[in-house]
Formats: sequence, structure tokens, C-alpha cells
Amino acid sequence: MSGETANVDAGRDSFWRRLTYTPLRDVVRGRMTGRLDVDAAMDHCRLPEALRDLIRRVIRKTRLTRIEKAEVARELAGHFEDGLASGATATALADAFGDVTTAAKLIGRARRRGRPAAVKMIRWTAQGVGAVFGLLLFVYVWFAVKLLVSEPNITRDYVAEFNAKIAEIPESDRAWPIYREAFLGIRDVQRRMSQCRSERPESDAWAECGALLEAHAEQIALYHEGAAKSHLGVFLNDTADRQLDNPGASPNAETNPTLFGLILSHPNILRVGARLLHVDARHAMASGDGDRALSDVRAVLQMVEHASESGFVIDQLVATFMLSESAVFVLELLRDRAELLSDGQLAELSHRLAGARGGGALRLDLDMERLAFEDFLQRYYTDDGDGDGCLTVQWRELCSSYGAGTHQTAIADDPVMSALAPPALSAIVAGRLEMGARYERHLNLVEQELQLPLWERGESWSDAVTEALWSNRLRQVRFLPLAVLMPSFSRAGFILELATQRRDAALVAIGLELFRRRTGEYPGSLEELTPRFLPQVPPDRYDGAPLKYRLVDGIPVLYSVGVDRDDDGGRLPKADRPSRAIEYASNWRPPSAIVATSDDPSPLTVHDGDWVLWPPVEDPVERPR
Amino acid sequence: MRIERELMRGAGPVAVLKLLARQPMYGYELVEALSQQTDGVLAMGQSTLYPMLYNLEGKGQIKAFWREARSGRQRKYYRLTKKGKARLADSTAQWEALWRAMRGLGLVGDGVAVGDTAS
Repeated sequence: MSGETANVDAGRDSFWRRLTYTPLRDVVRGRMTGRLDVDAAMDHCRLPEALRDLIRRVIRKTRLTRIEKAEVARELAGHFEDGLASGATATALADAFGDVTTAAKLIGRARRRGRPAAVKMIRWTAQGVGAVFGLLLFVYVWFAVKLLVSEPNITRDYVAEFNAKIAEIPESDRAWPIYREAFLGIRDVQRRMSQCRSERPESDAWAECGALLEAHAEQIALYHEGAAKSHLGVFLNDTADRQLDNPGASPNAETNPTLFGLILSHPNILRVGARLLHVDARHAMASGDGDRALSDVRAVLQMVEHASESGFVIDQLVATFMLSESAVFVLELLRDRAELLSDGQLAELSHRLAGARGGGALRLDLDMERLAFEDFLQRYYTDDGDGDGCLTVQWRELCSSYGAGTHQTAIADDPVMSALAPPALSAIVAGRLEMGARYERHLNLVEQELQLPLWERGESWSDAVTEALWSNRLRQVRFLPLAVLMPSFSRAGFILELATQRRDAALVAIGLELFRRRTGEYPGSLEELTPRFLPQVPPDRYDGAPLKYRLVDGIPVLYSVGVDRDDDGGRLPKADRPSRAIEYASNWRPPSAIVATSDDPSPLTVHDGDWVLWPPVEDPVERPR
Repeated sequence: MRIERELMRGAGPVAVLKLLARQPMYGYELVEALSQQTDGVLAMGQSTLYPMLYNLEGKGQIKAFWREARSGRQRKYYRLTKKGKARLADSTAQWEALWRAMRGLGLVGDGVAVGDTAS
């Protein structure tokens, strides 16, 4: 129907050339026609070179498909052959043809107009897709180039600035070298020492723990010596410290390391030291040595100040933990061996506890977090001089280092994604100014929340903001660095409130003991302790009212209403053991989450009972059967 | 005489349709017929004819087919379709109306051959 027979002498062409110029349907039928080869057809047709060349030039300019070109070439060749056969000269035929460019344009346009609608649709769609793809590719390449040539402008060495302040502290006032030496002496037994915390005189391991303490008397003395110093004096990024409690870690050889990537050894070393001293204090209490017990607690409270010195959140949380444990010990001491401490010693203990970490309700200082984020911005963003800039290619290493196990794992862990994604993501990720502003807004929200006492808190706003960030995929990508670096502080705030409650309970317990010694009996109310033995009655962190107090058979019971916000008269929730009951009563949940209280709670209810602070409860010692 | 492009644009396709109404023709044959039967007035080069043929084919007014010539090679012919016939009839009526209008104005006189008025 359409001149299927090729004018091409297939035998004169190579197999591969014919294959290349044969339509697929011919190949399927087993016929290597090569009929799409216009040049070969022109070579073989019986026309003068001038006319063949004219046809080639026209065809080349038509911008048609190969099949269409072949058809047009065949038709034009036939036309010239007819002309020559009728007696016209090649020159006359060429002259009569018209302008080659115009002819090609008109022929091409006409053939394209005549294509079937389906073919046109497919071509337009393909061209459209190609155009869109080309545009996307251009945009991608543009962002890739922009990303590759972007360099951060690191102007501050935050670690050096921090260390410069430490260097100003006289060496004789720095506790850290002494703590380090002490830790090296107990590093191998720290786990065993941790287990000794829960041992009591009646437990089987008590004697063994005592022997452990004796064997490490030198380290205990060193911790005391360190605690007596006015400053912690720890340098950040100290190579020796890096391997202190991480023997497998490689020394950080880089200068000007990232603030948020630092490995901090001192929090754990201080925590281990506090544990050691608390165990020693318990043994001192059991053996009737009040001075030694007080000395241990005094040292730990000084270590609390040391732990808070650097300003990192982790340090502040470790300090809070140490303070909380000290308060618990004081409560136990007052319950079991109050007579070991004199009035003066109790008063000193009260002052130290009240003044620890600045006194009042314990709070988190987030300034170091701000500096860490500023450090992040300067390392992973360019700087246009006006505070703004775009993400640089270095952020890939950030995602690889800190992405594992978090929401952005899909990008960080996938090698293809992590290679291809950065240019695309850099187009979406917020600029430096916006990122910094967003972080600051979030941190301000956290600070406002942490300023609220526990009884005024509801669902965490900052957690809600973080959840909102995660719930929207585009926002998650846009603020990806926040997703990597932004911790959740709501739990930290809760930890501080519990520690405040325990400390306040210890202060009240000291006041009760001093009152009893003075009057021979316990007061009828806590107000009787003020102002002589207690500046004011501390609030119940759960309802904001004063802590609850009753005398039961002449024995004082100090308690908080606990998570159910319901005064049960100092009754603990039902549980299989006392420590679990305390956990049930104190595990804060926002009021809106409480649907009901019961003795057998589900996730929607809370335990019915109070958090008994005094006398402190503890689990009975388990004896082997 | 050289005809303005706008006039050719209207006349050329109708002339081709008229020629094909008589019998199927191939490209060179059409070129020769247009030149000879119109005293060169509607003579057009291949660069004009073939685009015109492709346009008409795209509109479905003519249809191409290959036929073996006496020389043995394949030659592409064109024939009028039903659609083409309808267009030819319509165009013929328009040209007749135009001719009458121009005659009424004195632009054209009696004795000008317009060819067959109907097919």
C-alpha cells in the first residue's frame, strides 16, 4: 500500500546498517529491508548527483521521523525520475524545485499536520514529558552545581572559646584532672559499683560492696579532693578524655570540631564518682559514721555544681540526677540513722541541698544548645553577610552521622538517596536565616514550657511542634537539620521537676527532724516548721498546693497527690513492690490524658494513689531461696 | 503572469483537486498539468506542490497509493476521496459565485474559460 518494496539494494549494505535502518515491523517479519536509509537509497537511485544531493538536503531539514523522511525521499526521487524521463534536464528540474529550506519547512510542516491524532498525542506527550524532565534536570543540575560550589564560612571556634575560659582558671582550682585520675582507678569496677547502690546491710552482697569500697579508698579520697576544688575545669575535645570512658574511640584529631559532635566524657565520670560516694555514704551510715556520710554527700553536692559548669543539657541532667540521688539518700539517712548527724550538720545539709544548682525549682539552661546550633549553621550553610545562606554539601555527612535511627534514616542510610538527594533537598531545605529563626522559636517555646511549674503544664507544646514537623513530609524535609538536631526537652523538664520534689522532700524531712529534736514530737502541720526550720512549705509539684502532711500514729507522712491529682491521704498505689508504686504515682502525665483512675490501669487511666515522699519506701531485700 | 501568494493559496489546492477529479495522477504529472492547462498561471514548483499534496492528504481530501510504473519502479499516485469531492464541489460553487460577482463589476469578461462547472 505504501511502497513497501525497498529501492535499496540490501545486498550492498552491511548487516548492522540495514538492521539500524529497518523498521521494527519488517524485522519482526524477518525482512531486513533497510528502507529507512535515505542516504543509501539516494546512492542507489538513478539520478544525477545534483538532484540526489538536493533531495538529501531537503530531507535533512524536514525534521521528520525516519520513516517519513524515507517516504518523502522516495517520492521526490520518483518525481525527478519522471521529469528526466519526460525530457527535462537535471538543472531545469532543480531550478523548478524551489528553495530547499522553504521546501523542507513546508514539507515537514505538512507531513506533521497529517500525522494521525494518536501519533500526535504520543509525540506531544513525549515532548511534554521530555520538556518537563529537561527542566527538572536543569534545575537539579543548577542546584547540584550551587551545592558543590557553596562553601561554609566558619568564623568561630566555639570549642576554643570555651577552652579559653577554662584556661583562665588556675590549675590548682581545677577538679577535672583529679576526677580523671580517680575514674581510671575504678573504671573496671564501675558496673559492680553501680549494682552496690541497691544493696542494703541485710543483703548478701553488702560485705562484698564494703570490700570494694575499701579496695578503692584512694579513688574515694581523690573524688573528695576533686570536689573540694572550686571549678571542674574540663577542656572540651581533649584527646586523652575522648578515650577515657570510650577506649575504642579514636582521638578527635580535627581542629575546631563541631560543638554538637563532641564526645563528653566528664558527665559519666562524675556520675560514676557520685555513685561511688553514695555507696560509701550508705556504708558509712550503716557503720554509724555520720561524719563520713555527710562528707560524702557534701562532696556529691559539690560535684553537682561541677557537672553543671559546662552548660550542656546532658551535664545539667547528670547534675540533676546526682542531686536527686543525694536527696533520696538524705531521706533514708533521716529515716534510719538520723542520730548520726548533729543539728548543725543537718542545717548545713539543708543549706547545701536548698542551694544546689542555684536553688529554687531546678531549671535547664539552653544557652549551650543555642551555641551548638549556631555552630551547626556556620558549618553547613554559606554566609551571605546578612545572616542568610544556603545549605552546603557538607550536610550529607551530618545526615550520615546523625541520621541513623531517626526519622530521616531513609535518606541517610540509602547510599543512592544520600548521593542524589542533596541537590534536590537543598532546593527545599530552608535557608540559614529561616532555619535559625525556626530553631530559636522552638527553643523559646521549650524555655517557656520549662519555666512553668509541673502543675501548670499540660500537653507539651514543644513536643506538639516537633510532632507537627514530623507529620508533614515537606516540612520535615524543609527543616531537615532541625529533625536531626532537635532533641525533645519535655522529658528533661519532667526529670527536673521530680528532682525538685525529692529535694524539697529532703528539706522538709530535715525540718521535721530538727523540730522533733527541739520539741520532742513532730509538728501537727508543716506550717509549724516555718520559718525556723523551713523558709516556706514547698509546693506539691502536681497540684501547686503545699506538700501534704499527716501524722499517722505519731509518725509523719509527707506526700504529693501524684499523677492522679487526687489526695488519697498518703496511700501508695497498688503495685507488686514499693518502688513500682512510687513509679506509678510519680510518672507525670498531662491532666488531659487522664480519663479515669483505677487500681488496675490501662493506657488511658492512671494509678490511684499518692506519691509518698517521707518516710521513703524501698523494696525489701531479695534473698536467694 | 505571476499570481499573488494569497490568491494561489486559495486556487492551488482547488486546482489540484480538480485535476485529480478526472483521474489519479502522480506528482510530476500534476506539475505538468497545472502548468500546461493554465498557461503557466498556476505553475508551481515541487516545493509548493508536495506540501500542498501532503496537506490535502492530511485533511483526508486525497489519498496516496503506490503503483508500478511502466519502467518497473514504484510511483506514488494521488486520487480524490469523497471528502475531496465534497470540497471540490463547494469550492467550485464559491469560485463560480466569485466569477459572477467579478463579472458583474466588469473585472472579468465573457469568454474566459472556467473549465467544467461540475463533476
